[in-house]
This record gives sequence, structure tokens and C-alpha cells, in this order.
Amino acid sequence: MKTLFLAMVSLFALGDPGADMRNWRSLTASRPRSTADSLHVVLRYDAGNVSISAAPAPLLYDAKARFDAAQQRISRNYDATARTLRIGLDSSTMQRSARHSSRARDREGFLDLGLASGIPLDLDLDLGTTRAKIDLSSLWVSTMRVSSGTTETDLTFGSANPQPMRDLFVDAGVGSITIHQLGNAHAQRTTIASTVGDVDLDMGGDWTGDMPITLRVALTSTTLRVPRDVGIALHVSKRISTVDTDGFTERDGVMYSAGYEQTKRHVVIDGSATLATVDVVWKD
Amino acid sequence: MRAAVSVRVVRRVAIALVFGTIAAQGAGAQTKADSARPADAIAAALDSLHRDANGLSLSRTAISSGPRTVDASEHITGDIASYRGPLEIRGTVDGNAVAVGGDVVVLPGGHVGGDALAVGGLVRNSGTVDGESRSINAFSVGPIAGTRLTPAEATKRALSLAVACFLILVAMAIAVAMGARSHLETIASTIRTDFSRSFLFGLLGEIAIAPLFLLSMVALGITIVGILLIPFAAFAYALAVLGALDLGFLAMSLLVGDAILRGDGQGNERRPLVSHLIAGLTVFLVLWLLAGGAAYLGLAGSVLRLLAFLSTWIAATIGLGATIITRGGTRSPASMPPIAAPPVEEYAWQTPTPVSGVAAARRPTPAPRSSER
Repeated sequence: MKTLFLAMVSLFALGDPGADMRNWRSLTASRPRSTADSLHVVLRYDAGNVSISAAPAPLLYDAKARFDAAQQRISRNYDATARTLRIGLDSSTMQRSARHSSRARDREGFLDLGLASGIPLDLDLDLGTTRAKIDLSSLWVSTMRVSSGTTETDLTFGSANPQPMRDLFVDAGVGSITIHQLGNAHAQRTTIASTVGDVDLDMGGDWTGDMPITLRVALTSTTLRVPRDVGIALHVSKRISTVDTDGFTERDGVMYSAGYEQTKRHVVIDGSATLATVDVVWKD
Repeated sequence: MRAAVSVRVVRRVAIALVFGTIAAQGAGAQTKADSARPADAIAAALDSLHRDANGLSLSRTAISSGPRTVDASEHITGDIASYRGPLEIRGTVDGNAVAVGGDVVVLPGGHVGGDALAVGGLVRNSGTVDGESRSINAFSVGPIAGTRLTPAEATKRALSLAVACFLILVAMAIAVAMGARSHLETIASTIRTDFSRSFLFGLLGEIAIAPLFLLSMVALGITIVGILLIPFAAFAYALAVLGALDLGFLAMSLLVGDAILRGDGQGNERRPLVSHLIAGLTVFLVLWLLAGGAAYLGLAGSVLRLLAFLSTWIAATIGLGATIITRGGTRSPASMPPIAAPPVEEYAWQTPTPVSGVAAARRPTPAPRSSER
């Protein structure tokens, strides 16, 4: 019996071929801005850490990545005619990478992308099981779509967008999303969706007029951080949800914060909350 | 004595052969590596460069071995590359500049019209690069682990997986034998006496696992307090399902072990339970080892894998059914209330007689005989 067990353990110790083989690769890629007057970025990243920020001045983009070549491939492709940069995991390895996502690789694998400031950017980000830190300070973002799976996303608009953003769409999926100084985005249309997790929206920033937001949350704890000089109009259809409307008054099915008419800036929130909580936190 | 000597000789010869083969293979590989000509190595590097998603395609004429410099007065109209050495550019290159195993150094006044790529080095740019400056520490052209396993890898993986499951089940079997022997015996006894019902209950149980889970989650989600409990409830549910499956499968393994070791399991409470459990589990292990080792057999291997899967699934289903019937082995079939028979009236068997009575039938009259006429 003892021999049998020793044999078994030895056989088990043979292990999964390639299970623990790390094959780290590093990639750096940068391109001068040259005559490019806009940039469309398509980023696909399934497992690891991803960050986006401004690139040094003469560059159109500046990417640094580290990945485990035994499990995934990162590549980039720039189409000068379409002004499009496609970067991230090869589509053939994306699903596999997510399936075999390991804590060690997730911690050590990363993609840092710097983008040119001063030209309009269309960002199309597809994030899987990642931790994403997106700092759009000093960038000119024309449109932005973020779609994520199980992600911790931290999105910062540190400075005012030079031109209004046409569309900001964030689908947080399962995970948490924190947006700092959303007002700086100057988005003409903002949609925030979350299926399970936490949503933290800071309406601060340098903005005027109305900020329309469509909020669709389910099984989500949502916190709206609103400057005191801003009025809120909430038109949220609730399904077994709690929406904090203390001090609000209702007119025609819309909840208005106290002194709404007197404020010069307004956040107009429309949408739905299912099995969710929506809290309003006033900030000075 | 003579036999023992010959066995020893055979063993020595076998060991010598094995080591000899390994040594020969090693030596062969070494010789191959040593004899690789630079031209072959450059061809291999060009091939990798072409296949790497972050590489590019170069012609053989563009690359040369060792350090390379483009002087300030030089103008290269196409690509230029160095192999195992830095590439210094002071002049102009219209195409791409590539260094495999070295840095690409673009000095002031140097100009690269295409991309500057360093594999196993860096791009250091003090001049002008119109395209992309790119560095990769090594090629990424090999197979991605696990995307397509070789038969040897598939076999190794299947065998280690089977053994891992076996070891886990053995550990659980020991724990169950120590802590829940009576439960296990009850479930095994139910399987023995009520085999088909156990299978039916197991099947229904497996079908109901997902709907029950969803139903309970929705029920919890109705209230705010319930929402907070969802993660714990989901964990508890998964634990309960796994526990039931495990207990049932162990009970089936016990019966298989009984059959092998000729224990009937009835009236022999003190039989070595762990040995019987391990014997039963070993049967399943052998099935999976055969299936795992059959990666080379093509269709026959698939059939073996199917057989192993079916036998394990049937055992798990029957075990789960018996676990459900006995409520996890807490209720023996004997202790269960008997199925109540429909009430029987004492005189129900008699033909009911209407109150108004029954008209008497006329007795048939025999036909008159011919002599009586």
C-alpha cells in the first residue's frame, strides 16, 4: 500500500506540463506623432494590469507590456491610413488567457499605454479580468467606450477635456468602477452600466450647464458624489432598490434636490436600478 | 538461484539500455547544437522574426552576422539588420533597421524611414525614426502552452489529474470513514436495496441543482438583508452539493470495494472500511488511468474515455440519489415510514346489492324430448 501511494504521489508530482512555466516577455513600442491629427485606439486586454495615461510630447503612443508568452501574446498594430492603433492580447489567446488567469501572472503581467495629448482620441477598451487605471488628464478624448468583465476600473479626468466628448459609455459588468471628476469629461452623453459590484461617480470638475447621465445598475451599490453647488434631478425607475432621496422633492415623477432651480449646474440622471442602492453624497 | 541471477542480469541490461538511450539522445542534441552553422541560425532568426506578431519580415540579404554600422555618408535603400551584434546608424536607412541579439542605436544625424526593432536588446534613438521604435526581450513564436498538447503531454496531464482526484478522494474517504461511517453504510445499503430508485433520484437531483440554486438566489435577492447573504448561501449550496456527490460516490466505491474484496457489507460492521473504499476508488482510478494513457489510441482512446466518464457519472448519480433518499445517510430505509396502503373496507369485495333488490333470473327451461311429444 505504501509503495502504491509513493508511486501515486510521484505520478502526481509529474504535474501539469507547462502549468508552472513562466515565459515572460517584455515589449516596448513607441511611434512619433508626425502628421497624425487623431487616433483611434482599440485595446483588448483580458488578464493583468492595464494603465492608460498621456505619452511624452513627441509621441503618438508609447506602450510597455510584460506578458507570459507561455499563455498569451500581446501585439500591436498601427494603421496609418485609418489612424488606428490596435493593441493588447491576440484574439486567439484572449479567452484562453482569461481561463488560465492566475494571480501571479495577473500581478506581474501589465500593459502601460501612453497616448498623445493635443489630438482627439477615440478610445475603445475591452477589459476582461483586469485592474485598470485610466488617467485621461491632459488628454483630449472625443469618444470613449469601456466594456469590462470582472474588473477594478479607476477612471480619472484630471483636467478639462479641450472639446466636449461626444459619448462616454462604461459597462462595468461585474466589478467596481470609480470615476473621478467626471465633469471634466464634458460628455454630451454619458451611460454608466453595472451588473454586479460598486459604482462610484464623482461629479466634480470644471463644467457648466447640464450633465446628462444614463445610469443602469443591477445588484450594485452606487455612490454619486456631487458638489454642493450642483442640483440633481433623478428619474430612476426602481425595482426592489433603494435610492437615497432625502431632502429631494418630487415633481412629475422626477426627484429634484433642494434648491435645484437656484443652482447653475445640474446633473440629470435617468435610468433604472434593480436590486441596487443609489446614494447621494454631497461634497464641498 | 539461477532464475534470480538471470533476473538481475536482465534488470542491469534494461538499466544500461535506458541510460544509454538517454545519453545518446543528449549527446546527439549537443552535437546538433554545436554543429549549427551561423547561416542556419540566421535563417532560424529570420523565420522567428517573420512569425512573431511583434516582428517583421526581412530578406536574407539584409542581415549579416556581427556588429554593423551605417556611416554618415551611407544611404541604404532597403532594410538592414545585424545578427548577434549592435546596429549603429549614423547615415540614412530607407527601410527597417533590425538587431537580433543587440541594440539598435540611431545616432544624431541618423535616420530610419521604417521601424527600428531590437530583439534581445534596446532601441536607443538620438536621431530620427519615422516608424515605430520597438524592443522585445525575446521572440514569442513557440506554441502557447496547452493550446494543443502533444500526446505525451496529454497523457501526462490526464494521468496526473486522475491521480490527483484519487488522492483527494482517498483523503475524503478516510475522513468519512472516521467521522461518518454510519451515514456511509446507510447510503451504501440503500444503493444495494434500491438501486433503480437511487439512480432516478440522482438524475432528478442533478437536473434540479441549477434551478434550485437560481431559485434560492432569487428568493434571497428579494430582500436587502437577503442580498447580503447571497455569497454565503451560494458557498453553502456549492458545499452541500459537492458533499452529497462525494458521499454518494464514496458509498458506490464502498460497494465496488466490497465486491472486489468479497465483503458483503451486511452484518459485518467491522470490516476494514478504508481498505474497501480505497479498493473501490482504485477501480475508478484504473479506468481513468487507462483512459488517460490512451491518448495515442485515437478512436479507441475516445471510447475508453467515454467508458470511464460514463461509469463515473453513473456511480455519482446513483450515489447522489441514495444520499438524497437517506437525507445524507441520516435516515435508513428501515426507519422511513412505510408507504401507506390505500384504506380497504371490510366488505368492499362483496358485490353491492341495490336496496330495491335484484330481479331473479328465470331458470332456462330444457327443450322437451321428442318422446314426450
